Amino acid sequence: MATPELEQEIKQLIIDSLKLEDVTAEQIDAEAPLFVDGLGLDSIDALELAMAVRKKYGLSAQADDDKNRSIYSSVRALADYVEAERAKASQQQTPQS
Amino acid sequence: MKNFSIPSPKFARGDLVALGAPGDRTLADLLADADRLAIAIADRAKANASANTRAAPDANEVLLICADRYHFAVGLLAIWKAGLCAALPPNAQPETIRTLAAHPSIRLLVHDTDSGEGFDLRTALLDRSPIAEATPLDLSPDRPIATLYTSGSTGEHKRCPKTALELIGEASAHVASFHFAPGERFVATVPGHHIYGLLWGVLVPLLSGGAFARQTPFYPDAVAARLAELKATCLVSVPAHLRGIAELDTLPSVRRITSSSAALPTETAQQIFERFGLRVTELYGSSETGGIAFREEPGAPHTPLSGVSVTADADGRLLLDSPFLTPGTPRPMPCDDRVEILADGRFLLRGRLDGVVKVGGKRVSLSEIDRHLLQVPGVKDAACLAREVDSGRGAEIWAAVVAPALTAAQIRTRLRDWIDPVAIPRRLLLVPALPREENGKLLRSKLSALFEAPGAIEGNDANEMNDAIEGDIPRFANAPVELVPTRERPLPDGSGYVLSFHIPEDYFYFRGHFDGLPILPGVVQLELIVRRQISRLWPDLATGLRRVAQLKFKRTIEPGTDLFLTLRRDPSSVSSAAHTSCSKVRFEIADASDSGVCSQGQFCFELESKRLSPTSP
Repeated sequence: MATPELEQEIKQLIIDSLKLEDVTAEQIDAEAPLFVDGLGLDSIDALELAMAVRKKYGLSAQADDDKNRSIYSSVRALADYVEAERAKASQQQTPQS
Repeated sequence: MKNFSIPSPKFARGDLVALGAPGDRTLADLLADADRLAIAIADRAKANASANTRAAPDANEVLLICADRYHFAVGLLAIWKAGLCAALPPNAQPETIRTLAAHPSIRLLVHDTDSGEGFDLRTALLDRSPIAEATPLDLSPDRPIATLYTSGSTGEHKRCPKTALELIGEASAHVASFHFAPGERFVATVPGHHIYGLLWGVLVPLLSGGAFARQTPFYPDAVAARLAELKATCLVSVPAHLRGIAELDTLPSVRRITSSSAALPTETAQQIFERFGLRVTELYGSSETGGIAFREEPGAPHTPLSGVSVTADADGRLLLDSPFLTPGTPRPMPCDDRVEILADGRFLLRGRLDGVVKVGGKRVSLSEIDRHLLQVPGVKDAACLAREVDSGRGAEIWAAVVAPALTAAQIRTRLRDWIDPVAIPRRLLLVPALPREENGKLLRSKLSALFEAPGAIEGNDANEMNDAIEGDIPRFANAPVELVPTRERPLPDGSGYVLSFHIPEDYFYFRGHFDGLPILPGVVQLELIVRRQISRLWPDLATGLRRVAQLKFKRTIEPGTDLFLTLRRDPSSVSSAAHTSCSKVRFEIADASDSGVCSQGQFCFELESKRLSPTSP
């Protein structure tokens, strides 16, 4: 489960990378859908956000677009994904260190 | 002129035509499925079963919308085999499909979705009963085979009827000019119902003896995965998608990448060349004209396609003559782009001559957005403009709307039924009235100024703001103007308060602001609601206001409204060198009935560590 801090960070990343001038982090509901309903983001936002996530967290999108759609469905889903990928990365490093 | 044979006679019956999930398909599969579907379509069109009840007696168009490119190709060939004409929608928005499906020229809607309306072609493909050996189609050049729709500057989706010569002829010319041999494998990130996706994602493969991916991958990594998995040789994409693809660590090697629908930013083209050693073939054209020209060097002039002639009139308007123009079109055809013709026959694009902009590669008519805004119940007036932005979108639509009872979110939701998501206004400003001239015209400069207005207050220092307040609120001390909170509670984290207000119907500052359309002035919100409460709750902030930042007025406040004011004080940051500390209070005024934000911003205070007296001048 992702921390509220990570969710907050992702909300800010969305606002900054998509230049959502009218939106504050407080206004984004972590569980609301990001696309179409909710924030009403569109397909170009989706690609811009994936680029921002790649830059900030070093995480690629998935080879399967259905998975991508569920990862990018809400702030919470994206935060959980970032958290899970971090956990995976640290597990892989632990045995070597 | 000889007839066109599609799919190409270069195919053997066992050659693959469609690749990837949910399963590869051969030429024999495609022809048999198209034959079966043609029978089903002809039956339904004749019997009027599941057909459009409003169709004209001679309606011969079948509206086709498919997510799976194989279904799309089967549908296209079946419609032609049934002697009908395919209508391809401008976008896949449900209301667009529903409206077009009821157009008198449309006999039937054929699709592969779960919408429950029209005819789901997947039901016909379940039938595996043996069928007499099907053959490719033989299309006469002058036969009408498809109607494309585009958004024209008039505001309606403009119908572009196309003959076999225009579509099959152009795709055949691309096969020859760009040397596509049998066996090429195409992955497209754009759907088949757009002219570019139709020509390059479906027809070029079918006419060259190649194969296309059934899926339309979207995220860059999904595109890369499909290219690798399907051993693709050609990627058909658009600038907004290529921007993300350019940032991938690796890209499977393809022979050709094509881009169309908008100019490819030089930076993206260079990035793709430097990282993957690939040059992007940019194709320039439109739904009305078909292909016009191409270029393979970023930012270079365009070279007219084989057989196409490009000249310009005195205004720089592009004059086109092309074998792919609709029969009967005056030649040369005047287009809406401005060009500069070079001595060697190549040309440079110099922008549009009309009110159409490209947003995320899609042609957006500002008058069409205006029209849809005005159709939203509750919208009294509206106007939009386009702003260039530095993102994959290229430009954004901003709208100013007069709709006293609606929120921006409600308006966007209604628009989404009609307008492609990329063209939904990114900024939607609710205003009491549009600054129209007496003759009803709205000057672009005045519309544009509306969006600058709230920001203009940003960065003003406290004195200027005080001047503004003194100027705008006359007889401050004598009038019954104070607004007293009806309820107050601290925020759970202790950082501030939530206060409730009721704005009386007859509140003083509704007078003259405006007659017949009273709204609470922004300056009253700032001074009498926000600043009063900050001073009361935090006495150390009663003076020292330096500026108001990030101020946004998002929605009007009408008489009788109940409001919530949320105030959050950030921890002070101390600047030891200047002997001052800064303190910020963020505020948000929201409508208590639906929590919609009316205004928000930040009050920034500068506190001297040793202030002599709070009343010092």
